[in-house]
Amino acid sequence: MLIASPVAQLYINNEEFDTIFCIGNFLSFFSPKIKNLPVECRIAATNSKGIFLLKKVFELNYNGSLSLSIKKLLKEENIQSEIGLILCQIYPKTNLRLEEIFNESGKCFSHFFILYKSMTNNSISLVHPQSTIGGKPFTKSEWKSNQIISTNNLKELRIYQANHSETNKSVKYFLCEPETGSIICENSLESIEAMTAKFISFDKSKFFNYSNLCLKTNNLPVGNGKPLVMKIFEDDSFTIIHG
Amino acid sequence: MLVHRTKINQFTVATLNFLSFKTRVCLNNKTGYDGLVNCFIYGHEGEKIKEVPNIGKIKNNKSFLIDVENLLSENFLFTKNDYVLTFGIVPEQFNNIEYINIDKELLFKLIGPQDHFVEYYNENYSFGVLYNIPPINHKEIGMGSLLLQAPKIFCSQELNTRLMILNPSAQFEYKTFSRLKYKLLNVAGECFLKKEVIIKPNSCLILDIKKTLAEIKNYQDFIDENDFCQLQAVCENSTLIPLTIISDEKNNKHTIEHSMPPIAYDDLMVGERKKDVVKWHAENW
Repeated sequence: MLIASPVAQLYINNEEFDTIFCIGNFLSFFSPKIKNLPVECRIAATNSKGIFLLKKVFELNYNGSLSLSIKKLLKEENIQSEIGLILCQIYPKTNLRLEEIFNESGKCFSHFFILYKSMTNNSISLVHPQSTIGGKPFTKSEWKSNQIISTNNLKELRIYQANHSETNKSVKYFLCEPETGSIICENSLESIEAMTAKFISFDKSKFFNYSNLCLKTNNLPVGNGKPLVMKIFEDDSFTIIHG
Repeated sequence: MLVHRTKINQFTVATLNFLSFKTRVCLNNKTGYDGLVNCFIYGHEGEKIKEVPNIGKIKNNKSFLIDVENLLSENFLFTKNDYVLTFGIVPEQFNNIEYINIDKELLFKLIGPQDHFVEYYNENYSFGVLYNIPPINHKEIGMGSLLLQAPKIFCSQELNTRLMILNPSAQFEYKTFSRLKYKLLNVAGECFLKKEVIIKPNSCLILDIKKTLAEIKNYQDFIDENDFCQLQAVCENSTLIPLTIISDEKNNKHTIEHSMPPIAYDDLMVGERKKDVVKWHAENW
């Protein structure tokens, strides 16, 4: 058994949003015969510069799980941070060699889920993370989302980008006409620091003439580091979809 | 092996008219070939209602947008009912052949990760999900199984979670009634509810967690401070598509997400090892 680099996803923590992190003890579910082995859930959070703000360890029971409000977690530590990455790695708590205990397991990835919650208008969005820290490099000349974005009642389109790599990255975003692929407008995020996240906005003046859009980029910070697409509607409710 | 031409590359969705949302679908063709789009329409119980043999042409590397309400209207179906729709992309060279003699390698290349998109919408709001590889559930190719850990159940006065479970197949005459065992566990790993349900072939089962929890006295005691608990499930006799819908019912706002397959957590959770774990869970549930 090998434990992969931490899995990470971006958090949003401001007056409008909280981020709920949730994970299950997948080791006990996928290796159910191994009981009575404590498992640590190691959590870390970075700020908007990619600097580590906190590291915490939670113990998970056999078949146990964990949910954390990032707002509450940061508040308890007297930390103010509006955006960054939440990182997670699940680790068996033992002095024995993991290969001996988990002799059938391969490389394990600590996937969790994130629920973005509005504090004001009760919108919610559930997403899974896309990548581990480090990740595989992006090797293509462009990336195109398979999501068709309807502009009906849309006030703003916000693109959140996590950078799972260990170097700064820049990404250009293009809103395109889905049928022809022709570019309607573009915007860019310059130098997203390693291990953090940033966002850009397209307001409706840029796309109100079009009923559907698609998103393309010239780059991704890592191979599977797709952005999160947040649709903000006229009543300020939102939805977020990965990629 | 012989596979029906309409079952090579499929995308199955269920409508959510019961939540007052309409459905639209975006198919993405990465098969390497231009194709023709067809659709089988079933009731939520899996009963076949209609086959629409040709909806349009989808070029390789292009997308194809379908408004399900229009499709239902054009086929004289009552748009307020709920349906399960299985869309197929038939590579053009197979269009005049009923059953194609295809080897596994080519079949898997054509199935490939397509990342089709389903979105639910009303006049003010929309939510959707992209998801990848459909279950094969074919007697000659393999039936597979489901091993699901879903630490993403939220229930409170405002929130509800529903599991939308689909049971499609690459088999033209699919007859497997899938037996799904599921349980809810608190954060300490203690099971507080255990059930078994049958998912009919080509059907959609909506597991309403809040309604299920209402059967338990003081169920709030098992939900944590973030309104959270965990669901685990196992199905030994077929692969199912489990989608999670979390709803703010007061505000009629929803979110939908697919699940992560076991191999995403442990890259050796395949083949015999996965079968053993599925068997262990089924026997020790």
